[in-house]
Amino acid sequence: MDKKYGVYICEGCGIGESLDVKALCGVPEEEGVPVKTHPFLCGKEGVEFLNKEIGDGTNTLVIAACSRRVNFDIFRFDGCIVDRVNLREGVVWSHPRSEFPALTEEEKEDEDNFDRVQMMAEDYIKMGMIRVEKITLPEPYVVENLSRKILVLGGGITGMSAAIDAAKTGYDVTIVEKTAALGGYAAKVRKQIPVFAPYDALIPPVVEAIIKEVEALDNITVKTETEVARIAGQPGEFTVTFKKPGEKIPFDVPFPLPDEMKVDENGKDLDVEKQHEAYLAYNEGKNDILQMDPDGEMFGAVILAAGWRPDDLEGDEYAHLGYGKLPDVVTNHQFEAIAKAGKIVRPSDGKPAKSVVFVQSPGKDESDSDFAYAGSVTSMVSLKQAKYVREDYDDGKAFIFYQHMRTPGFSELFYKGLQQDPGIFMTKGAVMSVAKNGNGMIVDAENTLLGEKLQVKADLVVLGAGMVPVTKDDPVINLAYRQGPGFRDIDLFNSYVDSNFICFPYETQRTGIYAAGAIRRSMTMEEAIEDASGAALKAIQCLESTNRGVSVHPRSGDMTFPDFFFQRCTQCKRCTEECPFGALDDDEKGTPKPNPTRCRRCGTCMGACPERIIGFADYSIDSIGSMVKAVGVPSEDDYTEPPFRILGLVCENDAYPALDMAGLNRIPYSADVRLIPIRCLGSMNVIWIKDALSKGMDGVFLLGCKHGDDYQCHFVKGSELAEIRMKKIGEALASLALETERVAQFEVAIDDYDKVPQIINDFVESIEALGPNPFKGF
Amino acid sequence: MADSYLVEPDVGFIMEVSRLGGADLKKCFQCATCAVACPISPDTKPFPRKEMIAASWGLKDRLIGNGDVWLCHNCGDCSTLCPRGAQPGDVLAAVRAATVIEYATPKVVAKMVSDPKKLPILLAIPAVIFLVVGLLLKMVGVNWLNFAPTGDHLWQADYIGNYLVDIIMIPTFFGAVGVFALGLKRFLCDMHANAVKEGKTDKEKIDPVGFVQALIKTVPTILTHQKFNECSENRDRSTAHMMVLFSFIGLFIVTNCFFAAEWIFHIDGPYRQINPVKWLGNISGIALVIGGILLL
Repeated sequence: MDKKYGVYICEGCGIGESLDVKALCGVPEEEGVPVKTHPFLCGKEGVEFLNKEIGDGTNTLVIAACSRRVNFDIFRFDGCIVDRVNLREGVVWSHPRSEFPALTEEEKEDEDNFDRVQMMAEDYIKMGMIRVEKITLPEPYVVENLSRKILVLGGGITGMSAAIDAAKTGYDVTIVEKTAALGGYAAKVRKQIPVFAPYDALIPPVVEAIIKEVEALDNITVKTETEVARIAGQPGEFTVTFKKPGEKIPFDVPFPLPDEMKVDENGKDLDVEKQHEAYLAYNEGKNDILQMDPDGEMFGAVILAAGWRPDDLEGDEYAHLGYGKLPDVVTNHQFEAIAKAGKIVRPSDGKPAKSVVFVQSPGKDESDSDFAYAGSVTSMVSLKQAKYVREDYDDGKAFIFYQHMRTPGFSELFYKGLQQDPGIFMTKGAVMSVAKNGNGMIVDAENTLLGEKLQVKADLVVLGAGMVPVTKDDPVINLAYRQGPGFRDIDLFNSYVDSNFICFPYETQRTGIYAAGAIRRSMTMEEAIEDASGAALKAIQCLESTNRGVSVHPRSGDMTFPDFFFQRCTQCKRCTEECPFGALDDDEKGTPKPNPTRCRRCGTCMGACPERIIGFADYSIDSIGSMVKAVGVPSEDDYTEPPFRILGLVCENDAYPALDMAGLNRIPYSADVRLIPIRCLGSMNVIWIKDALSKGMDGVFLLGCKHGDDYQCHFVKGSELAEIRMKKIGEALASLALETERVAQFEVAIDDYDKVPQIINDFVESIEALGPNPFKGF
Repeated sequence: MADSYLVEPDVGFIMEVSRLGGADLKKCFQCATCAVACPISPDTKPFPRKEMIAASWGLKDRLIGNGDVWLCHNCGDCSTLCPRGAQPGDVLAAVRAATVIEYATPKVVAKMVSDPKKLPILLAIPAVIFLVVGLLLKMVGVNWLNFAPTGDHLWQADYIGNYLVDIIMIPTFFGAVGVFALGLKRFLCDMHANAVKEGKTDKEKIDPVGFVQALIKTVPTILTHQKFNECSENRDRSTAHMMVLFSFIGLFIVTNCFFAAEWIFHIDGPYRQINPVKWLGNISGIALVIGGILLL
C-alpha cells in the first residue's frame, strides 16, 4: 500500500502542560510529515477528527498520546497502520516536572542547556515514525483444508465431558478410547466425591449418565480400542492416523534420536550426516514426519484427556509401610477395587476389615510430602474410602493419618460432612511404621495432634498413592513434530502436561492441543469436568482463530506470522530447535518448514536466527533496529555535558505494563533511557544491542519476566533464551573493548511496578560510573 | 516403643458426650483457637484443644479423670470464637457430665440426673419414699404424715413431721456424703494418674500436705470467682454463679443451725421473723432463685 503518513499529538492528560508540543511538532515537520495536535484525542471529537484524517487519505498514523495498552479499541482503525507513541505513561507521568523541571526562558537562551523530558518525547516520536515506515499491514494466513472437527483423546470422564461440551456447541467430535468401553476410572469406583451441591456426602458414580449423554449426541463419534499413531500437520488441519493399540504401522510417529545415540563409542558428538543416519536406523519402518498419511482423518484441534494410571509405588521408599511385604497393606486404588467388589475385606484372608488406617504421607518424620503425584484429590479419596468402612460395618473404624488434609473450595463441605461420622478419626502425624501384629497390623505414628507417639491396630492399611499422568510413560499424542512426539520436558511439571499452571492451564506447549483432567495434575472428577469445559472452549477458540488466520493465544487475534527469507537460510536449525512450541519442522536438508497455525508469534525464531531472515509484518529486525537507530545520541559536539543514552528492550507482556503502572503511580525513573517494547525477550536479536552500542548509546538493558521454577514467561522460555544469548554477547563486547557491564538483563513481574524504576535508575547509575561509550560521536 | 500410646477409640463414649450436650465435638479441626481464646488455659499443656481431639477420637481414658475440664467455667469464649462451631465449652460441660456419671453410684440414678426427660421420675422418688414410709408408719400408729391437719397455726411440720423428715434425710445425707467421698477419692486418684500421664507432675502419689496447701490456695480463688471474672463472653454469669454458690453455703449453714436448734437445744419452731438465721435462710433462698434464673 502507498503510505500516507500523519502524526497526531494529544495534549490531554497532562501532556500539553508538561511538554512543549509546538517543539514536538517540529520533529515530523522536519521530515516533511504532516502533524496535528488535539486537546483530547480519545474523546468523541478526537476520534471524529482522526476518522476525518483517514477519510482524507491518511493510512499510516503515529498517535502520540497514551500507552498502547489503553484505549486500544478507540485507536483501532482497520486498514491503517497505527503506532502508539507512549507520551503519557512513558514520558509525562513517569517524569513529572516536579522531579524533572522544564527549562526557564532564561535557560533556553543558552544552547548548552537541554530538557531531558522533552528530548525523550522527541525521540519516541522519531521512533514511532520510523517504525510505521518499516512495517506493513499484516495479511491473514489461511489454511487450505480447514477442519472444524475436534479430536478427544481419552474416553474417561474428562474426555466425555469435553466431547459433550464441544458437541453441544455444534462441533463434530471424535472420542478415541484405548480400551473397549467408555468410562475410564470413573466407572471403576463404588461411590464418588460429590460433583454438585450440597457437596457434603458421597454420591453414586455419575459416569453412567455421562456415557448415556455421549451416546445420545449425534455429532460425537466414539472409537474404542483405538490409539493415535500420529498427529501430523498443524492446528486447523491436523492429519490423524489411528491404529489398534499395540499395532506397529508405517505411520507410527518417529522418535527423535536419544542423546546417548548422538555420540560415538568415544563419547564424541556424531556429525550431522551420521546423526541423520542413526536417526533413520532408529526409526526404521516409520515414515518421516513430513509425509502425510493419505488415509488420515482431518481434525482442527485436539483435546488431550488421556488421564492417569495409579502409582504402583515401586521401590524401597515404602518398605517401612510394609507395602509389598504385608498382604494387607494396599494402595487407595487397590482398596477401591476391593470396595467395588463388595464389602471391605482383607486381601490376605478375606475377613472383614473393621479397623482401616489410611496413610497419606510416606516420609516418616523427615518429610511431610504426600505420596508422589498426590494432591487434594488423594486427601478427599481417603475421606471417601474411610466412609466405605463405616458404610460396611457399624463397628468399623477408619483412621486417617495425614500431613495435609486438602479439601479446597466446596470440598470443604465434604470434609465437614465426613468429619461428623463418629467412627472416622483423623490426625496430622508422621506414620513411622506398619508392622505385623498377630493376625493384624499395628501402625506407629509420631507427632500427632493427640500429643505423642501413637499406635493403632489395623486390619487393613491403605496408602494414599498418587495419580501418574500417562504421559510419563508414553507421549500419547504422538505428534509428527521435529522436536518430538510429546511435550517438551522442561523439568518443571513432573511429567504432567502443562505449560503454565496459573496463566495457561489448558494450553499445552503445542498449539491446538489442549489438556484437561488428570493428565494436567491429579484432580477429582468434579475438577476434571470443569477442566473439560475449559479445554473444550480452548479447542473452539483455536478453530475460531485459525479459520480467520489469527493467533490463538496468548497473542490472541494477532494476524502476523513469521515470514522466512529462505534464500539466505543456512540450515543451522536454530529456529527449529529453539521454538518453544515446535512450530517448525525442518526437512532432510535442514530447511525449516513453518507451520504458522502452530505458531504463537513470540518471535523466538526471529531472535534466534543468526542470518536475521525471519520477521513479521509489523515486527522485524529492521523495524526495531531502525527504532534503535532513530534515538538521538547527543555527544560532546552538541553539549558540554551530553546526557547519557541507554536503551531498554522491554517485554511487552509483564515488564511494559509494570512500567505503565509506574507512570500511573507517578514513580519517576531516569529520563535518559529509551524503551522499546518487544514481543518477548526470546525475540530479542543481539544485532539490536550491537546497533545501539555502535550508535554510541552507553548501555542496553533487557527487562523480561522471571524464569526458572516459577517462570512467568508467556512463551515458556523467552527470558531464559535471552539470558543465554546475553552471555554470548559478552565476548563480542570484550572484543570491541567495551565493558560487559554495559549490557544487562533484569527480571520483573507485572506487579513489580514499584521496583522497576529503581532497577532502571540503578542501571543508569552503574553506566554513569563506567563513563560514556567511547564510540559516541563516531 | 514402650512410650507409645495404643489408641482404642470408644465410639460409645463419643455418642455419650454428644448426648450430654457435646453434639458438635466432631466439627473440631484442631486449629487451637479455643486454647488461645480461653482466659484461664495455661501456657503449658493448654486446653481445650487436646480435650477436643480426645473427645472426637473417643478417648474416654483421657477425659474421665482429666483435671483440666474442671478448670473450665463454661464462660463460652472458646465456643464464640470457634471457627467451626464445635462448641468446645459445651463439649467440656458434656465431658464433666459424663465424668459425674462415671463416678456416681448408683449408675442408674446418675444417668437419670443427666437426662432432663427423667426429671419427673427423679422428683417422684422422694415423694414416693415419704409417702411409703409415712403410710407404713401410720399403719403401726405413728402419725408423722398428716394429709389434713387442723389447728390455728398450721406449719410444714403439721403435714410432714420433723421426725419423718429426719429419719429419711439424715441417712440420705450421710449416704450422699459417703457416695460423694468415695467417688471423689476415685476421681482424685484418676485425675492424678492423668496428670502424671500428661506430664504435668512427676510425683506418683498425691502428697497430702501439698494437697491441703493447694486447697487452701484454691478456695479463696473460688469464693471470689477470680478466674470466672477473666471470662469476657459471659462475665455476667459470674455474679449469678456467685449468688448460687453463696446461697448454697448459706442454706447449708441455716440447715445445720436449725438441725442443732431442733435436736440438740430442743428449741421448737416456728422461729421469730427477726431471727438472724432465718434472715440468712431467706436471703439465701431468694439469692438461689434469682441466681438460678439468671444462670438459665
